[in-house]
Amino acid sequence: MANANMPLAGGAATGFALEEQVARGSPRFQGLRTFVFHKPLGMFGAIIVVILCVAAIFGRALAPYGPETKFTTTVASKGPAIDCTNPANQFTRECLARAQTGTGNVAARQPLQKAPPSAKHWFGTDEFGRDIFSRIVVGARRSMGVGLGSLLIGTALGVLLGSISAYFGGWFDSVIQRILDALQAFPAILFLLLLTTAGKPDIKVLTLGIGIIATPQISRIVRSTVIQVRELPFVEAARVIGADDLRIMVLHILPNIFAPVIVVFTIGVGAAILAEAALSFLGITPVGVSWGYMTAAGVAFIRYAPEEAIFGGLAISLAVLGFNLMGDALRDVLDPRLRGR
Amino acid sequence: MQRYIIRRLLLAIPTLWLVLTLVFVASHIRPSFAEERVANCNGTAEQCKRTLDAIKHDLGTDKPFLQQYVIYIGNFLRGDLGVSLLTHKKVTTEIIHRAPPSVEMGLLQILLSTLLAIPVGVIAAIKQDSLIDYVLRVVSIGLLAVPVFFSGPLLLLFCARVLHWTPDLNLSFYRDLFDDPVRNLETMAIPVIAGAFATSAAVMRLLRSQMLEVMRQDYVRTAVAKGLRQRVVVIRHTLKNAMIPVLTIIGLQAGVLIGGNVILEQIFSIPGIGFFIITSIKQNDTPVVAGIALLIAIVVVLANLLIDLTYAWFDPRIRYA
Repeated sequence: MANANMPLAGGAATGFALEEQVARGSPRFQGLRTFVFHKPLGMFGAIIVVILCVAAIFGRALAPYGPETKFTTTVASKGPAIDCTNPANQFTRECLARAQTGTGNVAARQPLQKAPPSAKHWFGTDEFGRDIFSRIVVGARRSMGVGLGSLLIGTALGVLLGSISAYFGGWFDSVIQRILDALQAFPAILFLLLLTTAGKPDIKVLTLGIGIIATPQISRIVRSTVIQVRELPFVEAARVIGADDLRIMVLHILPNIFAPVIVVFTIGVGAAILAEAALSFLGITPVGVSWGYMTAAGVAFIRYAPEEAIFGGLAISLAVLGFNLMGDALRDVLDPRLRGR
Repeated sequence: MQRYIIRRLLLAIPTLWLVLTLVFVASHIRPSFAEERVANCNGTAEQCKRTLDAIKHDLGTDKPFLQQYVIYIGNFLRGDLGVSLLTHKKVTTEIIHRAPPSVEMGLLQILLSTLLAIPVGVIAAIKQDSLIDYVLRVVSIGLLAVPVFFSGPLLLLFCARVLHWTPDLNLSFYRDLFDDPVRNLETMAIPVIAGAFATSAAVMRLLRSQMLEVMRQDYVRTAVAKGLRQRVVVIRHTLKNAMIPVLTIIGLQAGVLIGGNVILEQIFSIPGIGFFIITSIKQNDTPVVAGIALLIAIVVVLANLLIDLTYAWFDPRIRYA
């Protein structure tokens, strides 16, 4: 067993627990330490991502109310001193509510429509009286699910196609790259619109579609990295001692593409979340809570009761921001050569 | 140079063919227009089936898949993109009729985003790691994360609450640029600004990193050593060389010119191609959807081709790659 005072060579495990290795400054965790202590924006992004994951997994339990629970309220029969016959006041909250119940003679139970943020409803309520904060928390599952799921598909396909095409080269490589170029020429939104039905969109088809769109970019990065790695001496050495192609690819080449792939993956999840939100904004989304759909519903009355649109859009923006920041910081830490790509 | 051009042109053809095939396959995955029409059939099963067969025969969808494919390619080569299932007019006519608002909006967006991004990118690069650089970088990262359908309505809200002015969002309010320029620009102001924000952030980041790379080069150091003013060094030497990859990004926005503004056109009721494609999809008018998708993809392929050629013209090292 190595002496605790010996310098650790190459980050090899020396019998200390993982936490100790991190604390002691083992070279193996150099990257992680750089990320945590020297990249504040990246940490901020990572925290956002963690919060999103928690919301996606435990959303329903954490939300204060159910996403579909409709709240009602009584409207005061003595209205505030707003003149509702003045057309300029026509669409203020009070006059809208009063229009619902008549000229304020009778207190009636009616949907707590478009209520402003309050102690009971942190983000207010939507046009059906549903608590917006709960809907945002529960909606994280759709965005994270589609985002991560589609990128997993895209990464699997991209790594497969990119590494095989780069490793074997030749006309095979050209053909695959042509196909991927054609796929990339297709505008993403249109491709997704073509794939999905207006009436009954299926979440699996959506995830698969976004995954396919993500594939060309990922395969391009994988391909350029594999082209570099396959010329390195240790690959040649492996071949000389008789390793077959599969073994070389899996044991030698794949571990070296982790860094760029992780960066592209992280930033890609941000883009996938945007794509899913854009589609659900246009109305093409399966049943369930979706941030894009909430934003669309909120945009309809943004002038008078902007909460739904603002918080829906803010949720999407923060999610994408979190992944982008984390991806940028990862890129700086893992490979400075990738900076500016 | 000539060899590069020819090679590049030849490579574009299979890409175009692949795009055609993709569109064809995708349009056959979509629900069948004929079947949906017949879904509300009131007669007996036999009558319904006969109606379905008649519609299919009219549309030519009862022929075998490969035969339909060959007919499709043949039609495309003759410039025939099919006929709209709803209005029964040629798809090409419909597209040309609706193109002007989208093209105008796209051009304005590209113009605005370039005008925003270039000065900002240059300043951020010159004053690297200063406070202003940090602020600009944070702002651009933020702009990248905000979806278009959020920044558009936010601008609308801002105009309503702070400027006390809102554009009319009725579809019939729109006027062409040459009919009524004021109204036209009034309708387009907010969507153009919203759309330009996102792309300008991406362009600005790329320009900044390119400028930083170029500024480390020896010829820039020579220019400074010669005693040239900073402005000359930056503009004549650094910017010119840093712009080349940036031109790529700007050119890639060509797809936006035709139909990429789907969301903004929906929100602000601008009767362009984006709006048209949404209504066509909701009504399952497949030839129109396929035709527009094809057109946009072709524009993108051609834009890529042009960019590659321009790139090679500017940077001789590429020609021999």
